[in-house]
Amino acid sequence: MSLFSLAFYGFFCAALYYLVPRRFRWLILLALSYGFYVSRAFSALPFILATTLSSWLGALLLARMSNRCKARLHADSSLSLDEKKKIRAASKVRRRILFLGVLVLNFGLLAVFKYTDDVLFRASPLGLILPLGISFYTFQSMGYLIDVYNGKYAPEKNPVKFALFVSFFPQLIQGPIGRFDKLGPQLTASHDFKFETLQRGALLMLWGLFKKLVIADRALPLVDAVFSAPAGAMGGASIVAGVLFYSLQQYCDFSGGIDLVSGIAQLFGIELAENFRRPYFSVSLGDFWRRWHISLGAWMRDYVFYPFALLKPVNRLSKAAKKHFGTAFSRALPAALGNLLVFFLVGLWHGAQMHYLLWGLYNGAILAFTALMEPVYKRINARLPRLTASKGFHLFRVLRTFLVVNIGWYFDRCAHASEAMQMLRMTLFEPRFAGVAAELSGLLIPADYMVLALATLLLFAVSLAQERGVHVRSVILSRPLPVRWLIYIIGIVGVLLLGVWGSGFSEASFIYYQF
Amino acid sequence: MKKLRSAALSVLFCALLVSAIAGVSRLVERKASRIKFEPFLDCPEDHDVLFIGDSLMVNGIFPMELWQDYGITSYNISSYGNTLPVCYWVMENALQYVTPKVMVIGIKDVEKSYKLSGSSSDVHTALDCYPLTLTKIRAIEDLMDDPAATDDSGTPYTTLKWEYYFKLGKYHSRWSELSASDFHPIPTRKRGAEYALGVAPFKDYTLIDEYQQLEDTYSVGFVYLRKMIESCQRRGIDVLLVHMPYPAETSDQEAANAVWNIANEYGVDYIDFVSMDQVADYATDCYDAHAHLNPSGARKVTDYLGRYLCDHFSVPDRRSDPHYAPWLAYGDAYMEEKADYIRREGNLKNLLMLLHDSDYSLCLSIGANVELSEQDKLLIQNIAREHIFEEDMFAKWSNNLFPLDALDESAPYLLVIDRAANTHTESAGSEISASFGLVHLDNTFLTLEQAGQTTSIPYDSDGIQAIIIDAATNEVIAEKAI
Repeated sequence: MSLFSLAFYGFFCAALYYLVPRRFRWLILLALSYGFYVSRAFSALPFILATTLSSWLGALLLARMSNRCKARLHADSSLSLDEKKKIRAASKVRRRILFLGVLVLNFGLLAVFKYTDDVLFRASPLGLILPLGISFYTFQSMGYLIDVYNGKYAPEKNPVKFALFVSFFPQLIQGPIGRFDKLGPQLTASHDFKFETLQRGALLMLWGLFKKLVIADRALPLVDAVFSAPAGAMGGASIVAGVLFYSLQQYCDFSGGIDLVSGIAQLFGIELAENFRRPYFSVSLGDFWRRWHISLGAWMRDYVFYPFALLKPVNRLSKAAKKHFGTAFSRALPAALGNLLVFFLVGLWHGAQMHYLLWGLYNGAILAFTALMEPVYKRINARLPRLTASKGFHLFRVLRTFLVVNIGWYFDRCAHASEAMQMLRMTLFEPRFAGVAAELSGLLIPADYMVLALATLLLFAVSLAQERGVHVRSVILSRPLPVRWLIYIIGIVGVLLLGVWGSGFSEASFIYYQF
Repeated sequence: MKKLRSAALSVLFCALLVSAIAGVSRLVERKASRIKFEPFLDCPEDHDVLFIGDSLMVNGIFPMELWQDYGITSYNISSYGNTLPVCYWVMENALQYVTPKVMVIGIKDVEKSYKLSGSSSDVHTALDCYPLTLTKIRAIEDLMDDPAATDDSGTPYTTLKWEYYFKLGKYHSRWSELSASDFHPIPTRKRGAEYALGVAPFKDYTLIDEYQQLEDTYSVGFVYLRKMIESCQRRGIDVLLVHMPYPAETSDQEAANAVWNIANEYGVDYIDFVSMDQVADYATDCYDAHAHLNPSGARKVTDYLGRYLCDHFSVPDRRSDPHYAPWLAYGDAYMEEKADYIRREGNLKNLLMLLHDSDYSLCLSIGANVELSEQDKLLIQNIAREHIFEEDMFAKWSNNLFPLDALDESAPYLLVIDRAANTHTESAGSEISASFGLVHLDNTFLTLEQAGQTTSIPYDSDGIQAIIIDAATNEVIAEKAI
């Protein structure tokens, strides 16, 4: 399905949504979501149904076990303390078995599709096709299960409502990974038609299409050419250009897609989780990961990082470290180890290939190092308050972070770790500045470079305004009608005209679609 | 009231948006279809004859020559790469606007079993310019209903269908290559025909017996040929089937022979130029190895068809009809364009080929040291070739070619073709008197002396010089030295 088809489907669904009576609106949303899924991935239907059913039933049983245990303890006041402990322990074991069972089932299913060919059948792959949205709906469902297991909220009793939470069609493409307590009630609530909501949603969709079609897909041939060039064909300077274009392309591809699906959700009055907050304005790698793929980062933080940091063995290790390296180090150690684990898993989530694992570990190692060095940074900041508060230093931190992130992209984008190492070597030792023009000139026509430059400038200007607290869509919506219309029409025609789509072009699917 | 206002504003916004998109789409679209069909769609009801077929017809039939010579108002709605299913739908779209007296249908590739050939651009050229009507929608849906049919790039036509409804999808990237001609496209002056400028070497061929026929006459091409005939007959339009001349393979000839059965079945006329083998001369009249006709061949075929249409279908001569006064202007523009082709041409073969045109007289001098190829000599002889019509439209081009004897002498060679006097005179470096003036050749100049005007081209013993004269006005239109 092309992006425009997806956008049209969104408008079509919104029209249907508001045409049916309020109490049936969530049902029509479910029907349209399943319609979307069936039309695109009919054969994958059993898997999303299995995840929906197992997580709904699992969460319900977990809550029921917990309630029964509590009821039994309340009901029988004659129980001794030891007996109560035994009952609690037995209940806990049963709940844990069920909880782990559902987790293993769902993550196992995900792992089978994601890793079987790459790990077990690398020589002669079975050709398993990843079911549409499996990463995203699995993480979303398992987040829900963990929350119910931890007693954060009560489970959803209505399986049909829960099915909508898992299958809501905009998020199936590439997330964001929603939380049940935020998204669930929105999905089943009845939203009134508001013209302004519609305009906001449509504007966000248009902005997403602009980022994806005008910038990301236009830069794609250059990025592909640089990263698929034979070893030594591109000089280091051209490779740097390729990495910078990849930086732009990946951001616009992923965030553009998220803007599109968030815009579609907004047509129904539903706010999806924020997934990007201008990551290239980050002042540290930690800050970057709080702005890039936010929903995955938050999932990892809540369901991996914190549980891991609170594990007894980790605490024991921390205490042991205190004796040898001091309090500050011991406090930072769980965070450092947690970051290593989290980013190893993030790398693994992208794929089982070594370059993804190295990319994850690269990020994890820097964050671990930063966590361990935190006391030192604090002392420096305290001694040089004027310098560290200056705009120049802020800019330095932004550029430094950008550099660190871009080094990571070598590993993310290359097909093999050895290629990434080779490209890094070329970058450092064989820049070949004189050859840049010749190496890059044929990859895009001059008009494409011009469009890329102007579009990137526009993206930068909008991002800068947002970074300074300006809500751009509100500013547009507050303009007089003729100005608004002019902006809409120029925007729509501009994307249609300058976007990379239609025949003769390979309108690329989203990068994160494959994850 | 507020809701009503919102609804009205929404409608207004949509209208503005659609207008903006339509405007941009029109600007960036490839203009081939507009250039091809706009003159037809400007005044469709003017046309007594329509020609529909593939590239052989595009290059092989010149409607403006029919106007100039026979007063027939016609349009060539053929396009490159047209299959018979595409022809059917182009014809159906055209017939929404006009009911001509005669529909001339090219039957090339009638035996094919597919609806579309490889090039999506060709189908765009054939259909784009027609307004989106129910007929056009039916055309798109019918032509692109086969999931297995793909274009050149391997893309299934079923997935390209939407581009025929929303042309911006196909052409939006052309913004970077827009030129002045996109802002002011110049429609064709040839009423749908196109010149294929070139002279291909002779390609041998073998004619088969007319009873040697393809047995299966129900392939896709035949089915659509029947539909075309039936559609025309329902509307009272006479049909003439045509197999354009080219050195056809045996299989093509077998298919063309089978068309006789269709012609008999429906009682329509059929001209198989291939089996007739006496209108075009493949040694001088082909543009390429696929045997698209060049203008020399096209004029011969057009001339033959003009006579045939007049004799067999009583197509009227409209030249004296005041309603068709604009066609006189089209004729002038066409003549100007023809003259431009001659002025611009720098290739000897192409120039000689273009001069096979009764609208131009000629003074030609060939340097004493020039060695012409056999094909060059044929092309020179071809300039003055005449069409001889015999009884019952069995026609042929005269083979009483002038001998070019003077070429063998060591003196400069002079040839004068005088269309008004219907003579051709050759001599070795002397003076020739023609109806348009006195032609003189010596070792310094080729000179044409006309009343009050002298035109001279320096003589070059290693080159060829030509003075080309408009046969109607005796005005010199070009001086060439090659």
